[in-house]
Amino acid sequence: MSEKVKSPQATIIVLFLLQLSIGVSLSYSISNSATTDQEPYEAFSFDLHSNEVKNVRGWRYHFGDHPEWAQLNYNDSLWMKLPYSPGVQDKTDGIRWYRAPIFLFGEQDDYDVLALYFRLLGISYEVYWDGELLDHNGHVSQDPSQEIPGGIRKIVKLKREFTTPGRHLLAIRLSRHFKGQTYRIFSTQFGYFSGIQSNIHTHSNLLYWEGGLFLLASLFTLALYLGSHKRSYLLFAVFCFLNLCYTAYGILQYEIDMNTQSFDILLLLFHIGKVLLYSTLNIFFILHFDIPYKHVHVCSSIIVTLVIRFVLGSNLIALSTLYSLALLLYATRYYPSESILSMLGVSIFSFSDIAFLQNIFPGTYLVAGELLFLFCIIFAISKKIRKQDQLHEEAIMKTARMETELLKRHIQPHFIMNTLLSIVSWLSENPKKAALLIHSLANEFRVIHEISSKKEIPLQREIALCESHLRLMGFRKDATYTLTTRNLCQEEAVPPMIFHTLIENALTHAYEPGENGSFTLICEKNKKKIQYTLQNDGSRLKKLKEKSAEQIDEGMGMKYVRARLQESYPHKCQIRYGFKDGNWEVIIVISK
Amino acid sequence: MRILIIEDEKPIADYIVRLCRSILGDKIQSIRTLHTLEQAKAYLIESQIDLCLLDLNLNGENGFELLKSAVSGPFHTIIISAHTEQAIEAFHHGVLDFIPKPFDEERLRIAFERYFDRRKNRDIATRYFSARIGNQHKIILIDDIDYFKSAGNYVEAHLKNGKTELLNKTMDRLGQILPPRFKRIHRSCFVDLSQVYSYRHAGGGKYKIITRSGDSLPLSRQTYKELHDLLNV
Repeated sequence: MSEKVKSPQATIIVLFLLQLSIGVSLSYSISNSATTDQEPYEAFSFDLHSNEVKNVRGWRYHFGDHPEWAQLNYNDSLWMKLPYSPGVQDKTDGIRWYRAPIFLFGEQDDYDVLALYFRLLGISYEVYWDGELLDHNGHVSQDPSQEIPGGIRKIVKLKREFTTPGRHLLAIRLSRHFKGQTYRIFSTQFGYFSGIQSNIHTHSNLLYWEGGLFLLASLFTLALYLGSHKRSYLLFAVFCFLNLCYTAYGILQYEIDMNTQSFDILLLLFHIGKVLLYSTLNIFFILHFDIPYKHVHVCSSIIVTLVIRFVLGSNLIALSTLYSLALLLYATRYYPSESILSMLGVSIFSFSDIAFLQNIFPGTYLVAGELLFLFCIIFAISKKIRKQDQLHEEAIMKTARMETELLKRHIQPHFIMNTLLSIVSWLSENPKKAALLIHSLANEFRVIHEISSKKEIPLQREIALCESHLRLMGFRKDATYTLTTRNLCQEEAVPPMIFHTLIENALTHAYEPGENGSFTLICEKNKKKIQYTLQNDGSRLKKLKEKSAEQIDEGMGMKYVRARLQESYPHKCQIRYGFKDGNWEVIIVISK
Repeated sequence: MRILIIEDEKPIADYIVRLCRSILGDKIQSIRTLHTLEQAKAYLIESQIDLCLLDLNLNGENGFELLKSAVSGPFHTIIISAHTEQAIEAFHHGVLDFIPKPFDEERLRIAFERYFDRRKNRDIATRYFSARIGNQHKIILIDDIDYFKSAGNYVEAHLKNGKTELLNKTMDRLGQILPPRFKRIHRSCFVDLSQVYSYRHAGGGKYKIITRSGDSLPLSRQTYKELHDLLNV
């Protein structure tokens, strides 16, 4: 047993540590690259034979505005260097110029032209090539009211005569009064037009794939929710839908020629969406694996996600799944295979997300990672559904067993045989008594037959059954047994044959042969609980007085009572017994 | 004949008494009804009886404890119980009969016939004997016993390990509950036939059996003949 437990736990811990180390190393490498810029400051050169698309680097920039700054021969050596690193954002406004020398070598392609691809480049700009204005996006102006923000994407084709081998200069005149978040100079790409086009197609195709994947998963889990009304499925459907939105945002970039201002609003939504996305993933696991202190975990997982977002940034928000991983680690105690699968899925998902955003992975790997993630989670869900089915079946079986147990308790041979023998013995001595005994027996069987399939019966019925049983046993034992009730709330419902079983137990164990007996059933009810006390005055149990209650072995009857109460009032029921004022009493407390 | 009835339901106990009187009539010297195990234990220490009619489930307590005590006594025990599933175990402990409830006079009569009949007429063989040592009962597996030898009012059970246990039984009552492989070879001796090593004429009209363990036992002339015929067929 212990070995069985050990190995999955070891796997889990390894997975967890792996995830942790990846997270830490990634964030470390990023913070490293952002603070120190050791990369050699090289001019951008491009081989005209090559078909690749490259990011333009070697930018210098300067604030102000002068037409000469577009010229190839202008000496910009005193301008500030723009470090090539992602995430550098310029928050100042007004006009500024960017210059990047470009060295072309080799021979030009006969059929294709070179092009510049501006993606998410700030606001309004003019593009100069060797001093000549090629194109503009929006309207550049020193006056904020005159500035018109342009679109988010632009491809500028270069005439063949412009791109002869040798030194060229790309200059950008830019104004940025509009304070958006989209300003990223590094994403200016240079290459042959067909290459840029095919890059765009590959990327958008991948996004469609990704979207389709999450659309399907979202619909699938939504259907699961509609069928089962389990909130966790709905959350996963929402999570998948948010992922779908996330990809839709990517697709929109390509499909719609969007204004920078409206795109900026979309980008804000995207950032909120991403926090939501990872929060829902965490909450999904909290609900799905029935983690205790749900509300606390939901709140703290959201806080953790927000903290990671604002401290480590949007690219590392996937680290918030560490919260899920910790919870899943806990859940392995109850759902070992399901939580290991989920941990694997989550690790893959967050790793591929971080790796993609840090340009470690190409997009294809991201989609593959997401596919694996969805497979793992849906597999884990199906495993859990199977487990629940099994539990459900067991519950049904248990109820059926309970019913059989009830019938067996009363149709057990020794009860019938002894009663029949009593009838035989009374027949010759006192035929009237024998007839009464037969009637009592018949009545008891009739009632038991009626109530056997019921989960609960009115208290009144139960008491009638007890009285009938006492009458019958009185004939058998040649004694008089009575049942007095106090404060009874007749409309109350109880599981069948609870008191009957307790009385039967007492008759067997508490009374000497021939001893008369009296039972008292007291009911106390308040807003919080109902308490039933059943007392008997049997003399034999008084001998047990020396024994403490724990030492008394509970027989089948007591087990039946416990099982039946547990079934009707799970975890809300207590049974105590012991002596009080010379009487043996059994107390059943049902809290509401 | 002295009868003890142990039954916790008074009407049934009365019924058994009536039936006993009707079947046995004058043969009854005394008849006593008790309702609890404690009473029965106390009574058995003080009084001599010939037959005990015992209900196995008295007031929800297991009567097997009493049964073990009862079968160690010099009297026979007949179980009267509704728990027929306990019949086989009861027979293993050496009870004379098991009467399932409900029963009639006829069934009780058959049980009494078994009591008076010296032949073995039980379907299920006894497996254990109960020997009283002080206040305790020691269970002896019948397979461990080589032979029984009478010793005054008691019977010595000679075990395979060479030990001897004293049983509070008469030879006749033992004969009624022993498995068939035990043969009464002499007025004073039962032997497990599979443990017989040799038998011979010892001279002077006396015969002897030597057991595998090397013990020499008396053999009656009658049994000698029977054995001889059995082995020379």
